[in-house]
This record gives sequence, structure tokens and C-alpha cells, in this order.
Amino acid sequence: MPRDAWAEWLEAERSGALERADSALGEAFATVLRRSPGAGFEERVVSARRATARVRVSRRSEVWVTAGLLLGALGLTAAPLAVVAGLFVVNPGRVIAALARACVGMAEWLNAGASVWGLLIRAGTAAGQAAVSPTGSILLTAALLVASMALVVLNRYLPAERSS
Amino acid sequence: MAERPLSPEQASLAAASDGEIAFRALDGSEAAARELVRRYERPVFNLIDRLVQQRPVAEELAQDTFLKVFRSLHTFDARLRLSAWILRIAHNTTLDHLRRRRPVVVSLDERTDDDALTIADRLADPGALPDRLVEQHRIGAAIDAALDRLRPEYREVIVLRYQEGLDYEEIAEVTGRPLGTVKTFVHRARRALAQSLTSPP
Repeated sequence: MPRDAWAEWLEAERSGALERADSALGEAFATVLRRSPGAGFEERVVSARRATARVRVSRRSEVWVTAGLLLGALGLTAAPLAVVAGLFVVNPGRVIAALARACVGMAEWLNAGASVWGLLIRAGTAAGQAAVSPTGSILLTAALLVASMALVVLNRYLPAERSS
Repeated sequence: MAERPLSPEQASLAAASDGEIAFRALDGSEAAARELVRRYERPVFNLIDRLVQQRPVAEELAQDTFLKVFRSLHTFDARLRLSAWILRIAHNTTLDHLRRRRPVVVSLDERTDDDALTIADRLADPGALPDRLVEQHRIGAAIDAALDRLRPEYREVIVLRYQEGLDYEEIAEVTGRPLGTVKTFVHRARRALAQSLTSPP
């Protein structure tokens, strides 16, 4: 009986019967339709939810990838730096010789497992021999410095690229 | 157009409580998320549309509201009613939007109906009206228009109190206003609505 409910509410409002007006208006409003969104609203919301979930996952992956890159870069930088630092602490000749032996030994060890590493044996041997020469040491140090600077630049460049 | 039959999961969700739906949606169930939207799309959209009075904007804000709901389901306080919690997010989302744009000023004297009779006249004389259904529709439309002419804060409390059936404490929770203010607003809003309906054009 919507008409009665509205009339009763107006009457209660006029006469100042607040409680009756409150309940009558509640009853009257049962006949006023709620506005509803257009067709396909539910689907749009669910799709948007899926999309935001994907973005969240990819952001998380991005963080992991960045962390991995930084750790890898740190490792790559730290290992040669340790060798260079060793040159100043211990007898340089012994360090370079140990490095060359390690390269050759590793190449031989790899060769024992698979002949495909033959190339690496030669490369390791050559690198070992080059490293013991003064020119080789200078080149190695220069390469380490360039690599370290490249990593620093890369670290600064990554956030800028992400925001663009 | 015939409706698609419900899958067993959808059928079980349709009977589930609000808390269970929220829990399953939080767990990543898309069917539960869908059910949650289905349950609350009308109250959320109705409240937002009443406040912004622009359908496309209201749809966008309603969608934002649901995305916020899904993002913050883990913070849902089970002591609250889910409907009140969702409506609070809708209220805040709408308020943020309204703060960012210039408010629309609507004159209380504006009449949307060119008919000389007020709603009060029609309510007082039902016999003079030939078609009850048509008349009901006209009354509904007139109430709708009168509601839209109220101040936004009055409109909001009327919708929350009389369309969504929230009690005063819940309205205070949704709107972030003190309980006393809410009671005053509801009282004044009701009086303004009655005045809008009974004043001659």
C-alpha cells in the first residue's frame, strides 16, 4: 500500500509524531526502486579485479627480478674486486698464478664431464696466461672498473625506466 | 532473455552468509567475488548515484569501490555488517571524488514536474486518479526527484536509513559523523523531504 504509507508518513510528519514518521517513511521507501548500474557491471568489476591482481603479481615479480639482478651484480662485482684486493694484500704473483691455475683446473674439470668444454679450457688457459702478464693485469683492472661503473649506472637507470 | 542456470558453486554461494562470501573472496575465489558484487552492486550504485547524480561517473566510482573492497577485505572488521563496511568505502570513494571537483548547486525551488498538483495533493485524493499503477510510478518518480533536490548529506542519510535500512550507529560508521549529528540530519532530511513534496509549485 505505497500511497497509504506515503500519506501516513506525511501525516505523521505534520503532526510531529517522529517515531511513527520514521517507521512510515521506511515502509514507504520500500516502493522506491534503487538505482542500478548498467548491464554487465558485475562482469566489468570482476575483469578489473582480475587485471589489478595481474598487475600486483607482475609488480611482485618485478621486485624479485630487480633484487636478483642487484644481487647478481653485487656478486659479479665483489668476486673480481676480491681478487684485485688480494693483489695488494698477498703477493700479486701468487694470486695471479692461483687464479690462472684455478681457471685451467676448472676448464680441465669441465672437460672431464663434457668435451664441449674444450673451448673453455683453451679460453681459460689463455685468460690465465694473459692475466699473469703486466698488461693483462692492467686490462683486467680496467675492465673491472668499467663493469662496476656500468652496474652503478644500470642501478640508477632501472627505476627511471620503470616510471616511464 | 532467459537467465543462465547457476552452477553448483554459484548456488552454494547464493545461500552463503556475507561473512563466508567475504572469506572466500579473500581466498581468491572469483565466484565469491562475483557473488559479492551481485549482492551489493545496487546499494553501492544507488548511494553513489544519489550523491554524484551522474550515471557514468557513478558507475566508475562504484567499480572503484568494489576494487577497494577486494583490496582491503583482509581489514574487514567482522563486528561490522558487511553492507555497512562496503557502504563506508563507497561513501569515502564518492567523497574523494566530490572533493576533487566543483560542487553542483541545485536550487531547492526547482520543479521537475510541470504538473500543478503536489504529491501531497495526489496522496490526499486517491479517488481522482484513474490508474493506480501509473500513479504509483508518478509518485515514485516525484519522490525520486524530491530526494535529488535535498542537500547531499541529507540525501545520503535518507538513502542509508530508509532504503538500505541501516540504524543510526551504522550510518554514523558509514559517514564518519557523530551519532548526534546523524540523528539531527535524518530528522532534518525527513522534514525537508516532506516540505519539498508538500510545497505548491
